[in-house]
Amino acid sequence: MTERRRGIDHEHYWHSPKPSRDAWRLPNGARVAFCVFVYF
Amino acid sequence: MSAAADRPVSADRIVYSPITRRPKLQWPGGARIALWVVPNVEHYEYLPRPGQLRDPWPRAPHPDVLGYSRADYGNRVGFWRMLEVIDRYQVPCSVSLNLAVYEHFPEIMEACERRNWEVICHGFYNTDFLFGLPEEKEREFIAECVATHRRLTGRELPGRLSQAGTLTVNTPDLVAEAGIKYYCDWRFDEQPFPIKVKTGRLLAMPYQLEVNDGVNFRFPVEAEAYARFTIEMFDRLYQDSAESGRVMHIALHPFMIGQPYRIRYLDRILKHVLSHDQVWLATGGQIADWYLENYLPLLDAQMSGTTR
Repeated sequence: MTERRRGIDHEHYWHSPKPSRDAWRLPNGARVAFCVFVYF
Repeated sequence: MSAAADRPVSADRIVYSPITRRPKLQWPGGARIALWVVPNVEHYEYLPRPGQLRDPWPRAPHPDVLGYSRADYGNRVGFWRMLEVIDRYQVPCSVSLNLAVYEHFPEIMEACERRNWEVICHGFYNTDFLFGLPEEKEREFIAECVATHRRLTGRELPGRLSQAGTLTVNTPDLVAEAGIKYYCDWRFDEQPFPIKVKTGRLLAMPYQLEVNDGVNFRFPVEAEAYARFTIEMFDRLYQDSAESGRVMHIALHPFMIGQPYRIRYLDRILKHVLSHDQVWLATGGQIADWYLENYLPLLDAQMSGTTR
């Protein structure tokens, strides 16, 4: 096998290990976005 | 003697040796248990090679985005959460690695190398199987694994665990032929034990599946129960190791143990294990080296009357 390119093996999103990202700030200093899905 | 007694045992690779009749095994410094922690860092392909003898994503036509993205979460998030716990206890690890991970995700390679983790070759991808591979093709595959590991790390490859448990009847012979020191597919014991190969002997390590997040969490096993199983396994091995040493193997899969609702149980397990003395924290290579140099001669002396 040949060398693999950096990143993921498809084009839909890129590898981004969590520690390498900037902190994600939610509105009003919230830490968690709480989202409820209801399936019908 | 019955006809059955003349039949080869375990494909004629393993000498029968009841664990209670072997010489006493003691690890360095008189330790009773060798703690061998093996994170399985894997990549499951989006579009695996088609036409394999087993479908890597049997749930759906490919791509199986649900399965793929669940596993990919492990390399983006779960791995890093798992690492926090491992770092807290300063546990040396042997990473069962799909080698492509080091090439796709250099951040993971850098994290493993910085911690001096040893590599157990787990193929290139966890969706690229060896089933049905002719001997010469498998020889080439293993040679490529050895060369890739050397190119990436500058070291020789010490261990081999077949990716996704896919192997052939020739695998042990070819692993030994490639100069790999220890092998993890034959898991028939609680101590390392040599298996017979064409070039002599190859050391089989007690990689276990009973208490293994990769197995347990494919069934409806709660993380709290998994932790209890693991701690009970350790407690019994620790008790038995007063008579003769054991290996406590803990396998981890970041996309499973790294889930937010499970991770605290890894902390619980390591805290319990490391609250005991006479526990040797070791890599697979350290365990194999010590066994081959210090214990195998004792075992050989005892078994010298046995057909090998």
